[in-house]
Amino acid sequence: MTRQDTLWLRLLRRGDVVVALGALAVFVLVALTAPLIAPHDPVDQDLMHRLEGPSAAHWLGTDESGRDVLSRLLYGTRVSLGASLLAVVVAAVCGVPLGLLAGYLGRGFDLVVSRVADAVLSIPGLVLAIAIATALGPNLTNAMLAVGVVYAPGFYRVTRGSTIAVRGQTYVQAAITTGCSTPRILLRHILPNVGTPLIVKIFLTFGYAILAEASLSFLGLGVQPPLASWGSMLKRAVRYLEQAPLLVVLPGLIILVAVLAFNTVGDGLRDALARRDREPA
Amino acid sequence: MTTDRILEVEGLSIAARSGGRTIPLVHDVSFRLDAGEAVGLVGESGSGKSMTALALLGLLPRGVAVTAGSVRLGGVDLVGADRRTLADIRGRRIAMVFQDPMASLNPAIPVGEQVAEVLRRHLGLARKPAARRAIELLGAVGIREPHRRTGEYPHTFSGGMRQRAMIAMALACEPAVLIADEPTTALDVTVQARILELLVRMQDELGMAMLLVTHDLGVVAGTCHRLAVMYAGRLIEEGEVGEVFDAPYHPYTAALLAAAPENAMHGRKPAAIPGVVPAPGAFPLGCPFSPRCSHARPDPCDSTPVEVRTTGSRRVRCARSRELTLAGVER
Repeated sequence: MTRQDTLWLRLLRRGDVVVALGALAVFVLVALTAPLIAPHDPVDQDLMHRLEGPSAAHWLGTDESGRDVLSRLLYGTRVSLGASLLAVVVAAVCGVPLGLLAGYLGRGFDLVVSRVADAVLSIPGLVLAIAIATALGPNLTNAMLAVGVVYAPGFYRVTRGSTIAVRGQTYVQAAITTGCSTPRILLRHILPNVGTPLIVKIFLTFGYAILAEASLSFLGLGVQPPLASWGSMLKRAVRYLEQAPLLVVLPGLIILVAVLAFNTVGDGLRDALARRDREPA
Repeated sequence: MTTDRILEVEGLSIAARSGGRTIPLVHDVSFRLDAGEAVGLVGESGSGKSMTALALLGLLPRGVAVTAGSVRLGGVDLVGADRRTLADIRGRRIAMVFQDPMASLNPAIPVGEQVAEVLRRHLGLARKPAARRAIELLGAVGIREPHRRTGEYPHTFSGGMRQRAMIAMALACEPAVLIADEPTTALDVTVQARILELLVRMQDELGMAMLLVTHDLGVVAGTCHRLAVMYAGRLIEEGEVGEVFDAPYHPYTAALLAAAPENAMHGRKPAAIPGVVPAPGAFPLGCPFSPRCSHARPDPCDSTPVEVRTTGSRRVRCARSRELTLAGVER
């Protein structure tokens, strides 16, 4: 049995993690196949059937413009997950290489990059995203890029810390004695050994990013009509809270489940990995 | 320069810099390694033997640097060599085996691949030939079923097996010099003997020079041709193993021999050396061993730095070496 096998077993022994993984799988599947499984066009309006409750034609009812809520939620999954993925990728692409370099090289480079990271960390992510969206016009891509930059110091710190721990290991010295170049040592010998805390970080950051996307879209700075994301659906539905409470409850519930699922998987992974590291080889 | 003189260390000094202060760790160490020769570098913890070994590969930790001297490997001075030159020499001409085999293999890469990596880096082998050669090498260092084990991760290997894999990695490109830094200290006694046997056999087969860093004189007696003894950052005695064991010139060497637990087998009690090794930065002006030396006399030992005296193939750094006749041990 390999290390990976035991890790999965330990992860799957926890009920909450299994449920969360299942939920994530459903979200990803929906995001990928939204056009295939959506019963209606998500932007098709039918003003004769506004704010209707669930029916055979519209399983989850219609919104204030008579659009099919189920289809909008399915398409919204794609927008919300895609935007969050963008932020996480930006954060990881900025943070991980800098963390590796700073942790390995130390000295001046570490000092400078760490202070910049501290400075970025002092900026509230949403405020920066709002500022950028205001400056460049409301646009989900710009806003999530900004969110990604603000999350980058998190990845930077995790990578830097683990790199410092791994750098002193004999196998890194051994790699140097076999003539490995610095880039090769970083990518092949250090990165795989700092990967586990990064996986945890990715899941936890994903949860935050979903929340950030929902907040921005709720404020009208994210996805623009007629496209829908969970946050923007919530924004429009608030006005009709009394007539059609389902319009608020559904996207709110989905955001809750998505964030919870990402956090649960991240926590589960962290526990499983921590226990693995404590065990003797 | 004769052709079989492979590695020459001349006047090597190493110091640590901390907070504007310079603390000397190794002072004026010179020795050489000839082809096919095993030399034991012996000393207590803090004697500078590991620092010396690391300096040979340009691997000194941060804040520690060579302050004087040279390390010549086939005409190239490794001190002050640029990154590229060093990277091409490491693993190809000079290789190292570390003390802790549990930590010296990368846990995230299969063992065979770690060996193959060296072959691809230096010999330019393609993936498949390198993998095949790695299996051969793993077999050559005594790993059973190398075909099966090559794809396994280090955590499935025992300590002795990991050290064998590490040796395969170090010897992959048939280097001219192997530096083994306490290669058996972390292993069980029964495994120790086999690893030493393997090192000696490989050294013979490849005709390489080996520097065996150890604190164990028993290990030196069983594997080395010559030995160099270090104390407080200085090389204090060097010579053929047989000659030094029979009649050490330096009181510290004599004291080390008398302290070896192997003495118990000859019905003698190991004799402890009183006092402790002086801390780096607090080395006395004269002979660093004089505060612990039963033969020390104030005038010749404490006043001035003691120079190395050469007689035949032996060298000693003791102010009273001419007058003293010290007891050795049977081997």
